[in-house]
Amino acid sequence: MDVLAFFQWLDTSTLADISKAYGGVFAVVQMFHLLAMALLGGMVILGDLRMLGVLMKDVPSEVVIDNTRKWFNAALVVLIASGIFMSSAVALKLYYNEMFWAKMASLAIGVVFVYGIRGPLLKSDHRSLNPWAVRLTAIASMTIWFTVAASGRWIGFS
Amino acid sequence: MMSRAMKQKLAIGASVGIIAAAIWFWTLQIGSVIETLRLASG
Repeated sequence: MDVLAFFQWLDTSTLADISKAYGGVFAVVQMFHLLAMALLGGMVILGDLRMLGVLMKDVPSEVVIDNTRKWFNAALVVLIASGIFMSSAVALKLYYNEMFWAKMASLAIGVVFVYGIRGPLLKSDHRSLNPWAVRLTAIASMTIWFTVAASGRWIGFS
Repeated sequence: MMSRAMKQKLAIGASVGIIAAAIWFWTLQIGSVIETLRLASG
């Protein structure tokens, strides 16, 4: 698939017409993007710090992970949808931006890690798991989502 | 269906890889900022 062709199409799509012409719409979508980022970050920090035994020690970690998972999923859907809309306004600029690709790569790794590794691992009884597997998973999870958010912010400076 | 032992090995391997890649990535980024600041200050 020609990636540049996709970004050229996105740059001239109806979505791009709306995001470029209506600053108010863009600002509202951006607000939802930031709210979803706060929600996703909050769920990641809550779940991972519980796995590390830093907070909410009186609540079983299985309960914390179960409760944060659905909000994480919702936040990720809002982030991706609002992100596509926002990127349509500057699609070609983003295509040539290295940090944008660093963000997309870390986002892809984060999604695979959460749904392919962290999720299946934490379906087991947490006390039966190797403590180092749990700790390393929590640290890697916070690291990858920090990288997604920080490299996204860095796009504006590069 | 993966066994629990396999899931744990995979989690440890992937986590170490992610942490190492993030350290490498951010070291490069911070290094590039320091270099830019050094050049800017003459």
